[in-house]
Amino acid sequence: MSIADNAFTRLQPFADALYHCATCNYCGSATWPQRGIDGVCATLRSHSPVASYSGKGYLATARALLEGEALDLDSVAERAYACTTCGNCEAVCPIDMPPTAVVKALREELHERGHAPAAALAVRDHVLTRQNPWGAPAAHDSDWSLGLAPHPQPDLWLLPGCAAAHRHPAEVRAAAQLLTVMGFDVGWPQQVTCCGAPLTALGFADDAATQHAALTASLPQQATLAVLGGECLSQLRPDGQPAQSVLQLLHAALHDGRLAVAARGDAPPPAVVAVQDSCHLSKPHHGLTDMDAPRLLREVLAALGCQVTQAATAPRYAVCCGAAGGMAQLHPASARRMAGECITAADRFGAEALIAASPLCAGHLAGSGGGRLPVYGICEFIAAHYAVAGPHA
Amino acid sequence: MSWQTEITALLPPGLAWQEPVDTLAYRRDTSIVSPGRPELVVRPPDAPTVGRVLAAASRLNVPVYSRGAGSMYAGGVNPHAGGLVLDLGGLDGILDIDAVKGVVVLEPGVTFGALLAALEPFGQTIGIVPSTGAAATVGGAVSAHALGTGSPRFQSMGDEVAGLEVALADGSFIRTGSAAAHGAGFFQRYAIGPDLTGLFIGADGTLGVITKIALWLHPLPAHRETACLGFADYPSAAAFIGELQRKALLDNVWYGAGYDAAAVRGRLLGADPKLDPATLPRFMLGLDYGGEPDAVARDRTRIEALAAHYGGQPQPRFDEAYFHALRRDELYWYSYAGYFAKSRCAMVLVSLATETLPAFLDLAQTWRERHPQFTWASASVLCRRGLHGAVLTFYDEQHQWPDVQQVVANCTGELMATGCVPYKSGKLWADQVSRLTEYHRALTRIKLALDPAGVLAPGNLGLGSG
Repeated sequence: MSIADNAFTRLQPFADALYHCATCNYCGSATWPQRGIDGVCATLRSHSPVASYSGKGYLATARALLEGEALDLDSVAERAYACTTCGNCEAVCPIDMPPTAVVKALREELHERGHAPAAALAVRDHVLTRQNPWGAPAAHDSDWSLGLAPHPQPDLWLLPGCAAAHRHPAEVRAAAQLLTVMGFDVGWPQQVTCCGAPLTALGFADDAATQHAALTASLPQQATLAVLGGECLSQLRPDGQPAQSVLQLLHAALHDGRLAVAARGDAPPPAVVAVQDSCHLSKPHHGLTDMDAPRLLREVLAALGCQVTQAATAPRYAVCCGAAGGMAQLHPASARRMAGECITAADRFGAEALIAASPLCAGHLAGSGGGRLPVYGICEFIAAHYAVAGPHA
Repeated sequence: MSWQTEITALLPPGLAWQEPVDTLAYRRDTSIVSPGRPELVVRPPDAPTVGRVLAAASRLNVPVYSRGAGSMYAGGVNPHAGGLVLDLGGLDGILDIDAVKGVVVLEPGVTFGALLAALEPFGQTIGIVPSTGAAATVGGAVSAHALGTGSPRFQSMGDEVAGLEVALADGSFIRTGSAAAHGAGFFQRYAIGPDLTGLFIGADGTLGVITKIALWLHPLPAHRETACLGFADYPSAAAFIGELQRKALLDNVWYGAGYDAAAVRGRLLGADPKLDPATLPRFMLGLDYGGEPDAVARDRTRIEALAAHYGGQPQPRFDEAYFHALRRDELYWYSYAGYFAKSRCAMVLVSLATETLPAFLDLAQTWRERHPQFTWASASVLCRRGLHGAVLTFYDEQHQWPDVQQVVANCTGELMATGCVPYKSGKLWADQVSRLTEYHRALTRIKLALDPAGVLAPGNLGLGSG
């Protein structure tokens, strides 16, 4: 076996890993209750059970391409673009294989060779022209803030992200209000500029870099950012942008007393809730594990008096809800099934509501669940069920 | 109509694949055995579909290789003769947990991790759990006769099987043990004549495809603890282990693993570089006790007293530095830990009589010196009777695959000459099994009776060409 002299240059950096995969199938079917692992791959569960859609399948495909095997690239593309890029396969791998990174590199190769699926190209077009992957009209970017006024001299810029602005506006609206109550002078951009995260996931690396640069240029110098979406945060943080998650700010304010909460008598909160941990906020692949977002979210819910149903070990290996990686745009029926699985699991645990840390997940779950279980973003949940008080209340 | 089309028509939509990009991941298992080239992969949703696929494959003369997670180390799932791969991952139901009869009945695609999670609320567990168990399937482990945790108490996977349902090559089904009688169910393995259950355990899919498995249940141990014993030389360690087995002191030991001089030195100096290597024992035995607290305390005292008679001393440092964490926190990571040394592992598994342990360890050391281009390790696992041994050769798959295949082929011959016996045979041991003349002739006759077209896993166990 040797690497052929072909031009799959994006895969070359992964050559060692491709020969290292033990094909143990952890990325496909691992269950390890003591570690909170209960299944791994949402695509295998809800899109197709054949291994070519799994971490080890992507590694095998990349290795075969590097070794010069003549695979039909449209077929390869159909498989590679069905990954949610959640990173759970990397989280469970006993020997730290990088299948999610390989999928992204594979997508870059396929795009450069003209094999990106039409639906992926449509997402790219939407981001480049409308600044969101759904193609929602840019005119609606600020609908979430109707009736709210940004502070004229803000000390904190709230970056709603396209997911919150277009898919779950209640979350960003609640976030703006809570941050104000907490004592921040909150401003926000009047128009959304996509950070490029959806393009990175789909393998449009150059376009993603362009978007990222445009967003950075649009922000005031030295602005302190409050970011709602995990995917935006993972896109921005590597550049040293002073970005914090709204969850971090919320957690700090609840624990240092800047935000006081009391359950509303007219809309009492559910006693038992389930949590959908954002893959971007909880899996090592996305580079934000140092935030320890799953713990923060649980501590926020504990401070609110809610009991969380899942085991404390669950977050690192939570199965994806199907919102990310282009799944919802390229394979909407499968993405809905993934969301349905998450809601069914929450229901089975006896939860009365499902709380998501990221607006992308919250919007997708709420839109796919058929109303079986109320789904909230964390700020939206507080706004719906608690009276709040703070320095600016 | 092609055979692929004919067999695909037997499956519900979306459960058969023949594009090369889809069949790639079904070419091989974790072993060094060369990959095969499946022409079709199917994932039956239920046992009747398995029967229909087998009947069609026999009629059409298409080789069939059944597969669970594909995590075995003997090439038994590699489609050496091409043909069809039967992915049994879709048969993943736990059908009955009967704590009264002491039996769990399940389908072959259930992973050990899922099974243990399902049994825990009942306060029950099973006897043998491979160290690949987070993803390994029970069907694969029974078919390949896996080893793992539980062997000091329960001996081997096969001993823990209460009965089977098997799809035969003609598409018909048999149930073995007490379940062979209509409506009786699985509660005793030995019933109605000879043990047909055993015929399919370790057969690597050559005689039939397992579609249901009944395993014995055992109470979850109330208390667990680990301890390690060090010995100055291999013969003393072997004599001690033999005495443990003769005195039946293993009722409350769930796992026992032996570590040779190189491993002991590596682990201990890795944890504490200041240790004087001259003071380290040559052989370490790690024991994972499980049972009622009083019984564990009693047995541990007796075992350590017996060890002292053979010069064995408690080694809490090794337990702390390695064994305890392995057993409690890293159990399912363990099998792949050594992959950080080189890209892949060639693992050869054997059964050996306890007194053969020193020769086995010396042989492993010989290969370490003879083939320094590879990273070598050996492991021995304590059974109720005898031992399981593993020779692990870590190699760079991109550059050393053919070389390691040749070296391992030579090793298998030397292991047999030393008195070791092929274990988890699959394809890796096929040549050696073929040389066991009378035994292999009997296997061939059974094969002919059950699979006259020779379509089931040709090549495994040296049966058929592939």
